[in-house]
Order: sequence, then structure tokens, then C-alpha cells
Amino acid sequence: MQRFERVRALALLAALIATTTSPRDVRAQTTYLRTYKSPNLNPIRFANKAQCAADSREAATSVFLVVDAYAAGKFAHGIAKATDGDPNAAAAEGMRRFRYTVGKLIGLVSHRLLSGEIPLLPTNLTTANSAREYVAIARLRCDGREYCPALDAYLSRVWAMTPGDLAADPSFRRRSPTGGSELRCRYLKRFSNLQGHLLSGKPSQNSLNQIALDATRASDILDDCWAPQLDSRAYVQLWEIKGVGDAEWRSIGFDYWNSLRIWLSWAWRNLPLRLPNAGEFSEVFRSLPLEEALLFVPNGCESIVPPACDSAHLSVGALRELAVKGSPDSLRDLPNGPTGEIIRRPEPPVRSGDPAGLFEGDANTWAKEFRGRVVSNSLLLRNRLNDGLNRLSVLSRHLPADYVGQKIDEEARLAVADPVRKNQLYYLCAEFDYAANRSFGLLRDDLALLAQSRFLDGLPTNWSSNELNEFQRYYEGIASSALASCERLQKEKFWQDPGFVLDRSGYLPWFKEVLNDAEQGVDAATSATPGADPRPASGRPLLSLRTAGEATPFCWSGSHCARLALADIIGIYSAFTYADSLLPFQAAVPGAPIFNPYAERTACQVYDPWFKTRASVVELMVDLGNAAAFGWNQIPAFVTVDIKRGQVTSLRKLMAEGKLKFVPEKEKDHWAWTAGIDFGSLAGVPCVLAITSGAPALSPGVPYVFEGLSIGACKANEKHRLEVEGSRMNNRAGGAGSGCVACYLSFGSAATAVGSFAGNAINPLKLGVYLFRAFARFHKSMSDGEDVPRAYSLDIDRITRTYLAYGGVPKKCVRGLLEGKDCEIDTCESRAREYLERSYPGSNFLAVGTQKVNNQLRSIRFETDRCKGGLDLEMKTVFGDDCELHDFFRVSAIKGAGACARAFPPGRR
Amino acid sequence: MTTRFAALCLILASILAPAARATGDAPVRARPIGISQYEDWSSRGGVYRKSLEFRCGQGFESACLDLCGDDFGCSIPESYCRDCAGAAELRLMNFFKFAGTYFVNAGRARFEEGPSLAAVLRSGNFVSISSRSPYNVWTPFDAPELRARFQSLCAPHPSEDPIVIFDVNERRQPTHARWVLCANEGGLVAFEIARRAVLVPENRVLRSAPRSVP
Repeated sequence: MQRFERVRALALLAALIATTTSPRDVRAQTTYLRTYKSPNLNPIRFANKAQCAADSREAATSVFLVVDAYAAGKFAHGIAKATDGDPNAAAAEGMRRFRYTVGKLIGLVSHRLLSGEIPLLPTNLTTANSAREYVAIARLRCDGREYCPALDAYLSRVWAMTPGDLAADPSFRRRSPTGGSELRCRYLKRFSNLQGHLLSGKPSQNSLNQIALDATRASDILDDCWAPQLDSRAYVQLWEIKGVGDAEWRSIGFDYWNSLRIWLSWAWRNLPLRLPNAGEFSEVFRSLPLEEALLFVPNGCESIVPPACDSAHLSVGALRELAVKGSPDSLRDLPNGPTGEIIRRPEPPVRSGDPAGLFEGDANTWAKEFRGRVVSNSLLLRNRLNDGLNRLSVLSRHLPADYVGQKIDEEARLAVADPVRKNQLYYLCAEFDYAANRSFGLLRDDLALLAQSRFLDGLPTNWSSNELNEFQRYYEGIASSALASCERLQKEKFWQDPGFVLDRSGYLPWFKEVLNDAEQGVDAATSATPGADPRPASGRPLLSLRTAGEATPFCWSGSHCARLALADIIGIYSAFTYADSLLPFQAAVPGAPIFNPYAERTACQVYDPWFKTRASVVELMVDLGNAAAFGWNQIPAFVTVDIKRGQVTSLRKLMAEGKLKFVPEKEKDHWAWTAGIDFGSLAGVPCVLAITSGAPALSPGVPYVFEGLSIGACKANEKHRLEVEGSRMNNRAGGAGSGCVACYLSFGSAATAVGSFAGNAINPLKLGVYLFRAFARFHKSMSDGEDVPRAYSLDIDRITRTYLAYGGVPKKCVRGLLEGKDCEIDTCESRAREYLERSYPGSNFLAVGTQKVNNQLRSIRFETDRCKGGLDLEMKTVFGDDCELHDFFRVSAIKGAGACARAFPPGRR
Repeated sequence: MTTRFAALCLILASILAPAARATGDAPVRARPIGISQYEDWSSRGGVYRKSLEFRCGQGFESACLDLCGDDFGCSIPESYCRDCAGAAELRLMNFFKFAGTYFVNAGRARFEEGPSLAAVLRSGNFVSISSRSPYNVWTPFDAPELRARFQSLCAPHPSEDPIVIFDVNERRQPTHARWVLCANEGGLVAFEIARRAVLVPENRVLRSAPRSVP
């Protein structure tokens, strides 16, 4: 037993040393159990795919705040220039002040929310039964828009109310203050194993060791949010809710985050006091767009905003894409739309690896690069939107649709004599055909949605939805003129002219993207011919703009003007598609589940985390029914079912209250029944023929391999017949047969065979086999690593204490720790170990076992990396057998064994 | 000894006193010729505050009296401009990018209907920008090209430092660029700002009047 222990201990020690970063790190670790300072973090939750999807419906208790202080810095820089100050010093100071004031403001609002001094603002306005006045304002007066002035006025009034007034008003829902709840801030220097749950779904013994190691050096990883010298340009903070019970949090969690985000937006501009800790910037900072600079991201799979299947939630996919390292710097001209993405990839990998590059380098670099991509794309979208609206405004006022049509026809007539110009009309017809054609329905329908959306109403621009509708109508007028002309030209075989050569380099960028997608791309190296240039050899532009005496061409010809109108509509459409995530002109600080791609997939029913569990239960019932029907008699039959979830084929778009919602259109779940005839008992051949109803794959759970033959594969629509003769398998292509036929050795047939020999009416062995098979199949199904929800909530302190006590997390403790149980630590072993590590610094010791001589004398066996053989430490406790009190034990002897006898000569203390 | 010391103090006091007066709270500048104006972002009481400063020279006291109730000059405080200090405000972006091209001088400001300029400024319901505005993140600070475009807005009454006044909505977002204030030796004139019409070279009759402001 001793030898086994020794081997085990050595192996553990070796593994421990191997897994820690470097030998030097291990030796440098001098934290002991009693000197361990807890980083005081919330438990971390490892979740597999299904659990991650299910967790998306819960409110997060731990969130990251990604802050971009660039605008604050640039603004301070500008103010210094305008006041003849030092711009660079002002920029640095401005960013630091921004960090302080944002942090303090969050703390202030959160404190008032948690102590019930201000009411919670409900997330779900339809079911809310409190804060009635708020609900009324939000729904009726704000009319579903994010903001209206009445809301500011309401919030200002409520902020000033005393707790007495609030308590007297029953319509307010406040949290009953309980001591000790707070939202605590930490500055994240880098992502580490303390965020290991972002990398994997199941913790191993190694991950527990890594977590503990990082917890002991938490000061390298986390810092105080108010420390002055931290990088303030772009940073990540960790904000955690403490002191709110689980049951209460389930009830108020989402409302808390909703309230925090809305109150923050209000407070930034309307706080009656100065912005806290903002120094000289406490007035002017109010002009900063706070919502652009901040982003809450849940630390894990939970959510800040309850997921829903609408454009606001789906557009977070764009942010997620931009969070990935090395993502393309600019968004598409013609976006696929977020719905396409989730249908094309219904089950992306989650918790496997680090595509976002979070763990490379420090958190500031990641935040800066992420924000850099977001900002550049956001500016791109803004410019597209702005330019599109400006240009359409000019075009629609001065070039009526039918006039453009006339001009196109004129152009066609002129092009007969100049075939190179035919390119321009070709581009016109190709681009409009794609956009307006019924067969390319998607784009046409999407563009039609623009007219119904009210997304412009929420943006800081003077353009209104009415004007957008006008532009939409104008575009449709242009489109019908253009398409009519194109049809005519097509009929006249306009382009079937030997003098005409198509130069595809002249397409507008959005159409080139379409061609690239369809792999009919235009080679970038192709140089443009004169035909590609919309500018004619001579003549004036169709429309131009006079500025200070010069005339700048606006568009050159009927076809060019029409194509520009189309490009502008597409530009506006692309802004609309990404509006919710990249043009966040909301009245609340945004929150997005960047680390959980299943949040919106679950909301849109593209993935169902409970499906596998439900299906397994159904299959178990059927199997038990089998046992009941066939397990006790001679009937050589069985029936099993394999349930496959129906896929969501499309998301139907629905405009409701000016917001774009999606309704999933789902296939029915597919139940593949297998009816099997067990010939084993009848024909004497150990084989079973099963006919499945066109199932795509053979149920894995149906009769197990028992004698070494492999199960025949059964693919949909494949008509194969496998025949087994003895031990050979012949694959013979079959002709007839509606289903698919496979032959395999059945577990049950052996029992059935036995049963038939016995000749009894009731076959207990067969029944047993059937029952066993039912539960074995259920167990296998429920052990699925990915699709059956499973989570492990790990208490960091518990793991670290175990780690420090034993010098590593022992295998025996892993299971307990994963289940949230303490691992029993023998304090005497732990103290003795500390004593040894202090006495022999640089060496590691691992307690292997204790032998008690009597109540006060014990001998503890240690393994060490200092030498081979181990040592025995004799310890005398003073008060009973308790080692809790540090000074009340004595080490009476240390005896080395084997090679350690020299290193630890007997008698040494 | 003491008398010499006292005399020294007196002399010093008489030299320093005017300087002391000059470093009082209200920034004092030499009385200008005509009227001068500028956007002021300086720190007062330890906090940066935005205001519009006007100074009226000899013969123009009535303008300052009208604007601020003081014949020498005054400071008109300006509250925050929502979401302006960054790249979020599309209306400001449009103005900084297209001042002088799309946005042009449209004649003298008329105040027959609605509040006067003085009333608007005193109410605080406005935001102002110039070519030196820290709200501008799209072109370099006070770049010559930007300055020239702003100055073109004051073509009939040339000014060194034109100030553009925006209307604000109840959220304190800038909605429309309404006036440009042009101040020089000849006084202060306010002009309307309009959005430019386009020229159609084919002599086509415009079907509708161009929009005045976006």
C-alpha cells in the first residue's frame, strides 16, 4: 500500500511540476494557506454547449466592462488646444479622469439600486407589474423608441425622491436593502485561468491547478480600479455582484442590469451634482457619447439583456465577429444579414479555444484592437449612411425617375455608335436585375423592409423615416424605369454586338462583392478600360454641384445616376442591418453576449439545449415499452426510435413596433422508427435485420456490438444491403427496398437464443437484457459531452486552499471540488508541509499519509523533489490532536528514507 | 529703514495693483475695435466650462448691452452638447465636412418671427461651434482649409473667427445650423445658414425649391 502511495505521490508531484509554468515559478511560490489572500471573486462556471445555451436565459452576476476612452482623450486634447494648454498631458489626464468618473458613477448608481433608494426599471414592459409610471412612459409616450424627453424628466424626479417617498408609492419596485450587497470593481490586467471557463466547458485536474496558481498571484492579474497609474486608453474591468441570494437574483437580475444601463445614461447628462472624480472635466464630459465608450459583456454564458429573436439581439453577431483577432477590417458592402449567419452555422463551437485572442497578451491590447475594429467599421457605416441619405436627397429632388428613364434610353441610342459605352448600360442592367429581381427575392424583400423600419428615428440625424420612405419610393421608380429599359435592350439584343467587350472592373463595389461570393469575381489586377469609366469622352455631367465657382460633377449619365441611387439604398440598408450593434445611439449603455454565440441561437430556436435530454427520455420510454411488450416472451421483435431535431430553415422577418423581429420556421422533429426482427432464435443465425424508415443514420443505441462484428452503416437514400455470413460482411448494392437495411449482431439475440432453448414462456434473461439495453442506451445518451446540459461551478478559494494544502490538487479531490464540495484537508499535514517548505526553501513536499502513534504523536510521510525516498516527520501536538493553532505543535524528528537519509539526517529538527 | 521699506511697498503696490485687477475672475482684454467674439473653453473654478465671449468696442456698446446686459462685453454660458464630443453626431459631422460647400450663407438673419438672437443666446438653448471647436474630430484642429470654409460663411461681412449657432432639441442634440455670427471692426452681423441647391447644367427647371437645411 505504501509503495502504491509512493508511486502515486511521485507521479502527482511530477505532473504538478510539469504542468506549472516553469520550475522557477513553483519554487518561487511562497504563499501558504494562512497567508493566502483571496482575490474574492465570484465562482466561475464551466458549462458545455447545451448548458451555455441554457444559461443564456439567466442574468449574469459577473460582467466585463470594455471601455474605450479615446473620445475622452481626443476631446481633452482639443480643449487643451483651444485653451493653449498642453494637449498631450491633457489627453492623458482626460482619459484617467474618464476612468475614474465612469467607475464612480457605476458604483453610485448601483449602490442606490441595491439599497432601494431608486427603483428598478423593469425589462419586460408587457408583464411588468411595478414602476407603472415608468412602464407607461416607456411604452406609450416613448412609443417603443429608446428615448423620449418624458423619460429624462421622470428619472430626474425619481432620483431626487427620498426613500420615504419611494416607500410610500406602491408603484415603485425597489429592492429591499440587505446588508453587504454591492457591485465590486476590479481592473483586469490580463485574461487568465481565472477566466478559464471562457476557454473550455469542462475543468480537468490540470485546470484546477492552473486556477489555484493564478489565484495565488492574483495581483499580477487584477488590480484596484482606482489605482492612478493604470492604462486608461482602452481597458477591461471586471464588475461582480456580491451579496445577493440566488433566488432573489433570478427575480431581479435582468431588471437590475436594465436599470443600471438606463440610469447610467441618464446620470451622465443629468446628475444634479458634478460628475464624480472627473476633475476639471466634470462639466464638459457630459458632451461625450457615453454609450459609445462602454460595453458590458457577460463573463460567461449568462446574459445582461434577456435574449430575444430580433434584429437588436442578432446584430451582436457583428460585434462578436469583430472581437475575433484578425477579423477583416471592414464590413461587407452588402451584408448577408445576421439571420443568414445563424441558419448557416446553427451550432458553432463554443468553449473550445480562444478565437478572440483574449489570452494572448494583456487585456488592454485586446480591448484597444477590438474597439479599433468596432470604431472603424462604425465610422464606415456612418459615412455610408450619411452619404447615401445626402445623395438620395439631391437625386430625388432633381432627377425624377421618369426623367432618368428617358436619359437611359438616350444613352442607349448614343451607345449604338460607340459600343464601348455599352458597358455602362450593362452594369446598370446587371446591378438592377440583381437588386430588383423577384428571383433574388432576399435583397428585394430586405430593401422593402427599410421602408417599414424606423431605425432613423433613433439616430442623431435630422433624416426621418418619412424621408427614407420617399427615397425608397424614388428608388423603386428608378428601378422600374431602369428595368423596363433593360428589358427592351435585351429584346433588341443590344449587347450581342461584336464591337462590345464587357469590362467587369466597372461594377460598383457592392456588386463586385456579390460576384466574388458567387465566385465569378473580378480579378483585382484587371486594369479598367475606358468603357468602365462612367465619364463619357465629352459632354457635361447630368447633375453637378457648384461650389465657390467650380462645378463638381455629381453623376454623369442616366445609367450612372440610377446606379448611384441603388448603391445609396444598399449603403443605407447595410447601416440598417448593423445599426443595433455598430450604431448604438441608444439611451442606455449597451450590453452584448460576445462570449456566447448561443444566446441568440437559443432565442431563435435554432438550437435547443434541452432537446437531447427530452429525446433521451422519450427513447427510454420506448425502450422500456419494448421490454414490456417483447422482453418477456418469445416474440423476436423490437422497436426503437431515434429522434432528430427539426432544423430551422428560415427566419421570417416581421416588423413590429418599428423593430425587426424574426419568427423561426422550423421543420418538424424527425422520429426515425426502427422495427427489428430478431432472427437469432428462429434461423439460428446470430443476426438481426432491421428496417429503418429512411433515417439518416443508424441509431447508435440499437443493439450493441457484442461479438466483434461492426455495425453496418446506414445512410439516407443509400440502398445497400449488407449480408452477414458467419464473420464476413458483404456489401451488396441492392435494388428494391424502400428503407435502408442493415445487418448486425445483436446483443439481444444471444439472450433470445438462450431463451428459445430454455423453452419457457417467460424469458427473464431476455427481459433483463432488454431492460439493461434500455437504461444503457439512456445513460449513454445522457452522458453526451456537448448536448446534454452540464455545468461546474467552481469556488476559487476552495480550490486554492486545497492546492496550497497539498502542494497541488490531488486526484482524489477533483471530483469533490467539481461538485462544489470541500476537500478534506488534514491540517496537521498542511502545517507540517509549511514547516518543511520554510525550513528547506526551494524544495517541494507532498504529504502522502499519516500514522498516528497516539493522540498527540504522529508520523507523517512526505515525498519531496529534493531527493528520492521520502521522509518521515514526527510531530507532537500540545492540545489534543489539533494542529489548527500554529504554535502548538512541535516537530520532534525528521527521518529521511532511502536517498533522503543523507539530505535529512535523523535527529535534525 | 522702515520708511524706505514702506515707500518700496507703495511703489510695488501701485505697479502690481493694475495687474491684480487684470487677473480678476472676468478675463479682461483690451477693448476691441468693433466687436470681437470667440468660443471660450477655459477652466473657471477648477472646471472647464464652455461659453461664448463677446467684447464690444467704442460705438458698439448697444450690441453688447443687447446680448449680455453689459456694454463692455460678456460671457454667455453654454451647457453640454449631447454626444457631440466624439464621432457620434452625424449632424455635426455633416457640418464640419460640408460647411461652405453644402452649407452656405443665406442672407441676413431675420428675427421678426420667433425669438431674437439675444433671447436664444440668453436662454442657453443652443450650441456653438467654430473652426477651433474640440467637437471636431473629422478634420484637423483649425486646419487652414476648415478655417477658410468657415470664413466663407461670413463672406458679406468677413470675420476672423465665425461662430455657428445650432438649434438644440429637448435632448440637447444639435438639430439645425441656424446662424453664423460674423464679428469684425464693423460690428456683429448674424446670417442665416442654408443647405445648398444644386446646379443642373441642362437648364432643367427645378421641380421644387431646394430644402433649406437638412
